[in-house]
This record gives sequence, structure tokens and C-alpha cells, in this order.
Amino acid sequence: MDSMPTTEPYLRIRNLSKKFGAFTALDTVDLDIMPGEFVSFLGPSGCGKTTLLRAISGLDVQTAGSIHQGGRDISTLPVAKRDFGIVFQSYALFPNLTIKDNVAYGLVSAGTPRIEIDKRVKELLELVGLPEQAGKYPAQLSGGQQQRVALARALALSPGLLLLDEPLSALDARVRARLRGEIRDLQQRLQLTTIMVTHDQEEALTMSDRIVVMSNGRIEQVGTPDEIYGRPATAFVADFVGKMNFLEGRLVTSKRADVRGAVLDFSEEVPLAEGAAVTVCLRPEDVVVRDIGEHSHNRLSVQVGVMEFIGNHFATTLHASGTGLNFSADFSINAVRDLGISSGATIEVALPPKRLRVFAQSRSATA
Amino acid sequence: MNLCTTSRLRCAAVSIAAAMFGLSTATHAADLTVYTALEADQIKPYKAAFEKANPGINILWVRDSTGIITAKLLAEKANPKADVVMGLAATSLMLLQKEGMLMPYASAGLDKVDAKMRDPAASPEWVGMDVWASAFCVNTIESSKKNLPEPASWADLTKPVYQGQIAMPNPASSGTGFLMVSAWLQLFGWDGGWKYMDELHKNIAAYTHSGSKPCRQAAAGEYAIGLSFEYRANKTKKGGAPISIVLPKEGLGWDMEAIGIMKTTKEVEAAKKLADWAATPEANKLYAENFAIVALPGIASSMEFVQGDIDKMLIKNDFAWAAENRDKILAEWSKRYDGKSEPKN
Amino acid sequence: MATETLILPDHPAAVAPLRQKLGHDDWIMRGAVVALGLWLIITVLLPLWALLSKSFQAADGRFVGLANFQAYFASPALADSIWHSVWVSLLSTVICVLLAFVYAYGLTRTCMPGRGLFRIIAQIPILAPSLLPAISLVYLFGNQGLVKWMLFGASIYGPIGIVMGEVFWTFPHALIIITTALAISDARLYEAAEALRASPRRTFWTVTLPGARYGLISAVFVVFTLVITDFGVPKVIGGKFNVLATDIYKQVVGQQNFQIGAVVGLLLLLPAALAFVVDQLMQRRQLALLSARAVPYAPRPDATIDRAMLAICSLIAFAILVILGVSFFASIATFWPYNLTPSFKNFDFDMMDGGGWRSYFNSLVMAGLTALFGTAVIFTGAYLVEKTPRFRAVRGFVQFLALLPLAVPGLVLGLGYIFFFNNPANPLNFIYGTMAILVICTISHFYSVSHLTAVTALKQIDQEFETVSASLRVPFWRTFMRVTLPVCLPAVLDIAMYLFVNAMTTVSAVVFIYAPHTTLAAIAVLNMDDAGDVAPAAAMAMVVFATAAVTRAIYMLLTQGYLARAQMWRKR
Repeated sequence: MDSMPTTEPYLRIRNLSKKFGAFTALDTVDLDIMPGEFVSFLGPSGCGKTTLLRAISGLDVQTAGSIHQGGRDISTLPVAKRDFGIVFQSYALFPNLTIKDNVAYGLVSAGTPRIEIDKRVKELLELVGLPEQAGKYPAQLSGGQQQRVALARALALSPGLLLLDEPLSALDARVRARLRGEIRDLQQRLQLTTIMVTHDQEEALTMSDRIVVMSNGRIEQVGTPDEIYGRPATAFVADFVGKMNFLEGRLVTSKRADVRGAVLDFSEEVPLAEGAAVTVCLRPEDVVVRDIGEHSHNRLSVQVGVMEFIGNHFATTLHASGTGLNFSADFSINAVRDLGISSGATIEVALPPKRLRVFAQSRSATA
Repeated sequence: MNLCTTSRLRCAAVSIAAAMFGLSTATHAADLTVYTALEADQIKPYKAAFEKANPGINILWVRDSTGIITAKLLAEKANPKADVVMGLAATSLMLLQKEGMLMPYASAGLDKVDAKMRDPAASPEWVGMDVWASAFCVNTIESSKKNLPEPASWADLTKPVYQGQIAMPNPASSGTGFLMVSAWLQLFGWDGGWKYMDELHKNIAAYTHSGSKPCRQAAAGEYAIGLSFEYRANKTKKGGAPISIVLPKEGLGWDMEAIGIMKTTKEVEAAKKLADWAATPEANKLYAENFAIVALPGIASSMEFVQGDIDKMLIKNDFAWAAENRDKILAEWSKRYDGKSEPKN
Repeated sequence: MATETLILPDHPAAVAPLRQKLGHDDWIMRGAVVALGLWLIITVLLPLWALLSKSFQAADGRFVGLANFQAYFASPALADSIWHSVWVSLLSTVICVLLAFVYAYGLTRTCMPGRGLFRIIAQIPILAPSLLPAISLVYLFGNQGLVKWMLFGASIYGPIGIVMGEVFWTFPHALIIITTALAISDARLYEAAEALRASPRRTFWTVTLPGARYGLISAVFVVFTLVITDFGVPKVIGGKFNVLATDIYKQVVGQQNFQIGAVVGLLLLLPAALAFVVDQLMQRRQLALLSARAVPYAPRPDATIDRAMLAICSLIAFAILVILGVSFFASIATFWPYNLTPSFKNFDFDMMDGGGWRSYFNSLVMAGLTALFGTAVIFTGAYLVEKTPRFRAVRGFVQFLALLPLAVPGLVLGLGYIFFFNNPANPLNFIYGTMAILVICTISHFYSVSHLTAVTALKQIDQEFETVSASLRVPFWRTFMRVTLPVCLPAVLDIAMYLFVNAMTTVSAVVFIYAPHTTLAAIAVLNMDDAGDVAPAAAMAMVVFATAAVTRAIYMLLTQGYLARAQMWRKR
């Protein structure tokens, strides 16, 4: 199309399929990744995200389809002929080599002069914030430090592509959160095209330029974190990313559905026949409780059921009076305090039509 | 291996590579592979004397019991490994002769060898070295402890008092064993011989692999009586064993140790030198240190601890018959006595 | 998406799956895997094939079908041997596994004192040729035996002696397996049993035994195979009691009857192969028992049990020490049993059968070369089989070949070597009768256990090293030398140690293929005993034992001292 960006994609994947015997791990996947982009492959285990990464790295060649990197067809090239750096969940640091030797590992083999190696190693260790640790062995460092060394090692040969295979899964929550930011920051400074495989949606949402959500060997949706979260393309994505109420009902018109007695409007037209079974998706945090007056659609009088204090908000269950509709909602502490919401109380809420996503009812995965 | 005399360890280290590929570390021009049933303690002086007299030739011994060496030679008939057979029973050499495996060669000085002790054929293929004969080793301490009378004859051995007290060599593997069996069959006749052995079998505690073992076991008191041969008996007694040596009065089974050249040898000259040397007085003097009767008349010796005139006690031995019937005898023996379960007593 | 409309040459629907182009590493690794496969085919498979075909041939090489088998089974004495072998092996197995279980229980489940010492004593039999216990038993229970009265008039020559000797010799093998099985039990099961107020007896039957059952079954099969294929013990102490292993020796060495030897060899292959299959199945299940969350069991002191176990283990350890000690005293006595003045007369091996001191130095060279080349070939081989990308069919086949020797008794392998390498038509005929064939045969004989040790070590290190290296464009062999090998150094030394000790003590495979200038110490023990030189045989066995023990001690010092320093990186 005309609006297409003029830049060529850095990685171009076409019709990629991978079969293990009768099992299809990847089913005709097409994907483009732009230069300097940070893309996450997100999905539950067995969805094909790791298989896709292994095909890109050449660890497991695809059954069919092509991969181009920087204009070069790498579809069937061996690992060593491709151009990437890789970081694993296990770090895979060489335990018997010092941090310096680990980082310098590829440089030595490439025949780089010693002085340059020293300079480069110093530079890389500074880049990952470990300038003082060069002489230590991996086992003497913390998990987070080890992973930063692994990153430095992967960057040593200035690869065109950085592959991160569940890089943060082995770390505890606080270190994980800090490293997310560091990696993202580094990636943006280096303008390095990066692919990360993860099953952790928070990780994907916070770090990525775009997210590829996968399921059963297929791509469900490709989009920015905002798009993925706010406008899930399929029920699977809606379910997998973030918390979601799945409300079952029937289509009244193309923009209105009857959900267990409650009639809900939505702004997006649904191309289905009247009376079709649909699922209306609603994020708990999208339930509006303040300034109800500004909302003309989907106002419901609800009874508050269980209220669970989560820390920065309350998770509540609501029952729409006079209907069979139950759903959960997240209310900020402020709102609960200001409006005096409590278990058993009856309050007014609104479900903004813009925030509702409606899918034909054939949900494959709800878990 | 001359190189190895100074330090075995260093030698071992140096020769690793050579040994890996079967190269000899020695500088000799010729390696003679000699199959022998001579005793391990005999072959060293023979080798040393021969190699001194014939520099450039190196003997590699393959040593085992008579039966095994014989079987090995026959089994390797298609692809023989041996150059010379030395110190093997004449009955075995005659067997090889019959199979056409020996090379006709008259050792220098053959005419001086006792006529009884050489191949009578016009083109002789073997020549005798010495005679070895059967003898009992009787442990005196154990005998007196168990109140055993000292046996004086083959016949004595079948007395019930000796039940479980006697060890003898298995004739299938041991030449000493075979010459006994052959002697009994010649002394007592075919049927009488087997009848004798049936009786003897009741008293036998163990059939051993080698001809020396019964004497050594008697010496250690493991069994009171060991049927063995005079060289081992003499040597064992000399070593301090509490044994008396008995030569059975019916007559001694005996065989000759002899030497012959394999037809297939590639080291013909070296082999002939060994055959020549074996008939020299020097060699016979070495044999005489071990045996009472040797091939060259006049170089006799008496054994320190063996009483009696061995020469006169030897039975009239028909080697041709023994060689001819060797297979048959061994098959019959194995059928009767080998592999039977442990007696229930 | 906008990008979907990009006009790109679509790959035509491929019929055949894509194949990755092979890089340098792939070519080298695949080439090496194939080379290893060929090596194993030549050193394991073809000799076995030669044995198999020989059993269907007459002496002159004609095919005679099952005639050799008929001839073998027609001889009642020989067929008896099968029955003898089976029941003696069964009895030895039962006794050995029971004793080993009790001993292992004492080591792992009680707080009895001296467990470290007991562990060391239990390893003694591994360091000696199997002929040593048999010789000692003759000194203990023979007609001049020190404690002959203990047999109440029964003869040690025969099944009693064989069973006692085999139990001694196989004890450490059973112990290692059972100790491992008991050591990995999950403490949480015991806590649960205690919480449910199960009596100690009930806990033993419902928790301890089931937990160790795969180890026990595995031990049963390993011991049974070792016993039925061992030939050292029955050779020395079997008397007139024939078993398969001595039959094969008598037929081949005594009568040069190779065809019947091949038949017996095939018979011996059966129980060993069966044991191999069962053991493989057991090991798979044993692994499944090991959950990552298992908590190791820590025994608590219990005066009664600890004292009882101490008594039993002391008795067993004492028996082991006595058997070793008797050979030692016999070897330094001037003339057992009449002159017990100590002397070194029995060490004058040069005046005896068996090749003299030269045999000992040959053994040192042979064991050294086996450890050196064996470790190199086996570890590199295991690495290639584990780490070569894809190439599954070939790798699987090579893996099978590497495990095959586990199912092949030494005697059978040695016999196969005669048939295969002594054939003048074989271009490799030139190695027959050299040190090389002894080294090659010994490596093959002990290949599987070493291979498994290497594989286990390789599986424990990070599986992504190779990927990382490839992505850094470092050739695999560089990572192998710089990382894999150093990280696996303890396992590598283990393998070298294992090969060295076994090469020093082995008799069964090499007894058929040694040559006059390559006689070996353990075989000298056999030959000296055959010739009646029992005390010198004991002396040589002691020299072999001392060598293995010293090597082992050096190894322990090395691993604890030098290695600990060289492997600083292991510490946090």
C-alpha cells in the first residue's frame, strides 16, 4: 500500500512451517521485523514461539518457508553462517572462564588483536554496568549479573540481530523488573534489532515495540503493546494478555448484544447475523465507577460481591441487578474510598462501548 | 631384549610406540618364534646360550603345556606362526611330521646323537634333546599325618587308602599326563590300562592343567601325592619342599623332548642354526642340568634328589604307536574322566 | 497488516522438507561421528559377527548349520556346564546382592561409625584380578587351609569355592549400584511414613525396599552377568566342576577347538544380553523416580540399629580384608605352609611361567595406553554423539554400538578378536599379536561404562554452550577444548582411572589374544597358578592390586588437592 514505510524490513519471514512428525509446530507463519525494532514472541508453552526463534537462529531449520535477514536469504544457513547474538534463560556462561574471557570468547576466535579485545571487553562490561567484575568467575556473580555478562558476550561481535530466549525467567521478580528496563535501554541505545521469546506478558508489554502473540503454531496478532492489550484481535489474545471478563450473549444488532439480560452497546460493528452467539470481552479495569454521568451507554446498577484488596487496587465481583450478569471489576483505592464502595452495596457503573471487544462465540482457549 | 637389561621401566617407556605396532626393540636381524613346552625355568639359559653363540638371532618363546602347544600348532596349520618347535614331546612332533608340517633337516652332528633319540627316517625331521620321565612327589609331612604308606608302584596308587589324595595332570593338556597314560596302556595293555585308570580315577582328587602342578601341590601339602615328572620333582625338593621322590617300580612312562623346523618358516637359516645348536655338546650340557638322560651319550648327569637308575627303569616305549593313537587315547580319556561332576564324597 | 501485501517471491509449496546447509562444524562433527561408528564397527561389531559365523562353520570354514551346536549339546559333560553355570551364578547373585544391600543400608541409612573406612574397604575387590580371591580361598579352605574346618569336610574346589570367590569379586559392583539407589531416596517419604506412625519394619517394607527396587534388580542382573561370564574364579578353584566360562577356555586354549568355543561364546552372550536389556529398562525407571524436589535422606542415630549394622558391616569388611591378607601373607611366605619365614622368593617372576616381570611392565604399558587412548576416544566420542546437531539416525546407531560392549562378556569379545583379526585375509591382521590389539580390545571391553559416565557428565553441563559458540562463530572443537573438557575434567579422570584399573586386572578378553612378548600380569597370575606356582601367582596378584591401589590413591590426592585448586571456578 502507499502508506507503507519505505524502510525494508530487516527480517522477513514467509510461509514458515515446521513439522515434527505429525505435529505442526509452526503453521505458515509470515512476519516482518523492522531494523532496530524490539519484537517479543509471546504465547503459552507449545505455541511455537521457541520453534520460530530456533528457525531464525538456525538451530532447527524449518520444514518449509523462507527467512531473509538484511536482504540475505538465510533460510538454510548453518548457525555459524548467520549473524546474531543469543542470550539464554540459563545464561550458558562458560563456568571455567573469567567474565572477561567469556565476553572475549568470540573476539579471540575472530583473531582480533589483544589490545582491541581488552578495549572491547572493557567497553562491553561498562555497557552492561559490570566494569569491576572482569576477573571473576560466573559462579561468583549473582543471577542478574550473570545475565548481563551473557548479554555483553552476545553483543561482542556487534551482531545485526539479538535473540533473547526467555532471558529473565530464571531471575527473581525485583531483579527481573530492573533488568527489563536495562535491556530495553541498551537495545534502544544500540538501535539493535532484537527478538525476545517470553511467556511473560508483562515482560512483553513493557519492553517491546511490537508483540507477536502466538498460539498453536500460528500468529494470533502482531501489534504494539497498546494494540495487543487494548484491541486484542482474537479471543485468544484477549484471554492471554491481561485479565478479561468473557461475557456470553447474543447479538441484537450489529452494535448491540444481550448478555444474560443486560443489553450492552459497543462502538465497533460486528459482521455477524442477528441472534449470533457472541462473547463480549471486558477488562476489569475498564469498568467505570467515577463520573458516571458522562456515560450514556451501558450503565448498570450492580451489587458489589466479594472485594479483594490486591495492593494498589481492589478486585471486586459485581452482579448486575435484574439480570444474570456477573463480572469482575478493578477499582482504584481512591474510588473505593471516595465512593464508599463496600461489599453488599449497590452502585452504578458504566461499561464504555469503546472498551468492549466482541467475538463470535467459538472460543478455543479460555484457560 | 638386550636393550631392556638396564632399566625395565625405562625400556617399557621407550618401547611403547614400537610395542604398539609390534616392532621389536631389539636390533637383531632375525626373530625366531619358537613354540615350546619346556619349563619356564629352563628356557632362560637355553635362550641365553644360543643367542650368545649366534649373535643376531633372537628367540621369542611361545610357552605352554604340551597338549596346548600341540593343539595350537595343529590349529594354525593353515597360517603357522611358529618357525621352530623346540622342547616338545617327540610324540607331538611325530604328529606334526605326519601332517607334513616339518622341514627335513639333519642337524650338524646328528650322527653323534643316540640312535634311539632321533628321527629314524632317511631325511630326519626332528632330533631328540633329552628324556623326561614320570615320577611321584609324595609329601612326607602329610603322609605321616594321615598315616599313608609310601607308594612304590603304579599299582599301589589304586589302593583305597589314597582316596582323594592324588593329583595328576590332564593328559589332554599336559605331555607329562599323556606319557603316563601312554605308559599304562603299553604296560597293562589297552583294556588293562583303562581298567587301571578306572580304579585310579577313584583316588584322584584333581586333574591339573600342567604336569608340574601335581608335584607343586604335593609340595604344598594340598594333596599328599602328585604324579609328575622327575625334573620338577628334583627341582621342587631342592627348593625345600618336604617331599620324597618315588619312581614306580613297574617302569617309568617317558617321552623325549625334541626339536624340529616348521616347513613354512621364513627364517630358514636361523632355524637351522637353532637345530644345529640343539645337538651340540654345549646344549646337551645345559639339558643335563635338568635331565638324567640327554641326546648325546656321555653327557649324563645324575639328579641330586632322584634315587635310582632312570635309564634302566624306562619302559619300552613305542612312540610311533603313541603318536598314531594320540587322538584316540585322549578322546577315550576325556569321555571317561573329564568333566564329570564333583564326586559326591 | 500492510506488509502482507508486499510482493515477495513465495516459496513454492515444498514437497520435501528444507535441509539446512552444513557448516564446517557440521562436516567435521559428522565425519568424526562416522569415523567413531566405523571404529566401533571394526572393534566391536565385526569381531562379534566373526564369532557368530564361526559357530556355524566347520574347522575348514565350511558352513555346517547347527552341527556345532548339536555336537556341543550331545556331550553331556559340556551341556552340564550350562546348568552348573546357571545355578552357581544364581546362588552367587542372591548372596552377593543380599550382603551388598545390608552393607549399603549401613552406609547410607544409619549413623554407624567408620562409614568412610567401610566404603574404602568395600572397593578393594575391584582393584584385584578375580583370580586373587580364588587363590586366597585355596589358602583358607584348601586341603592345607588355615580354617579348613569351617567347611565341615566339604571341598572348596567346586561350587562352594566358586560362589565364595564370585561373591567377593562382585561385591563392590553390587554395592555401588545399591548405595546409589538407597542414597537417592526421598526423605519426605520417610517423614510421611513417620507422620502416619508406620512402624520401622513397615517403613522398611513399604518405603525403603520399593525405593531401592530398581537398584536391586539392576544389581541382580549386573552381578549375574559378571559371575556367569567370569572365568578367573572357576578356573582356579572350580576343580572338576565345569562351567561355561572354563569350557570356552578349555575348548579354545586347551584344544584349539574354535568352533565349539564360538558356540559356548554365543551361549554366554544370551544371559549377558538379557541382563543388558533389563538393566536399560530399569535405569530409565530409576531416573524417573528422581524428582528434582526430592530431599536427600539424612539418617538419625539409633543406638540399636547402628550397633547391629556396625557388627554386620565389620564382619563383611573383615572377610574382605582376610581374603586380601591371606594372599599377601602367602606371597611373602618362603614356602607355604611349611616355612613361613618372610621372603621375596615368590616375587622372582622371571623364573616362573607367565612371562615374568616383563608381564607386569607390559600390563603397566597396556593399562597406561588404554587409559590414555581410551579416555580420549570415549570422551570425544560421547561428546560427538551427544552434541552433533541433527544426524539422528547415525548418532543413534553409534550410541547403540557404544552401549553394545556392555552386553558382551570379555571372553566372547576376546574370542571374536581371534576370529576377526587373526584371519590372514583381514587387512588389519598386522595388529594381531601386538600391544595395540590388547589396548584396542580392552578399550572396547570397557567402552560402555566409560561412555555412560561421559554422557552423564555432558548432559549435566549447559546444553547451550554449542549454540552460543556457533553464534559467536567459534568452531566447536575450540569450545570442546576450552570449556567442555575442563568442565568435565572430573568425569574424564574417572574414566581414565576406571580404564586403568580394569586394564590392570582384566583377564577374560585378553587371555585369547596376548602374544609371547605381550604377556600381561593378570594372565601371568593365571598361568602361574596353572603351573602350580600358587604362591608366586598370589604374589603377582598382590603386585597388580598394589599398583591399582596406589594409582587410585594418587588419583584421590589429585582430585582433592590439585584439581580442587585448578577448578577454583567451581567454588562460589
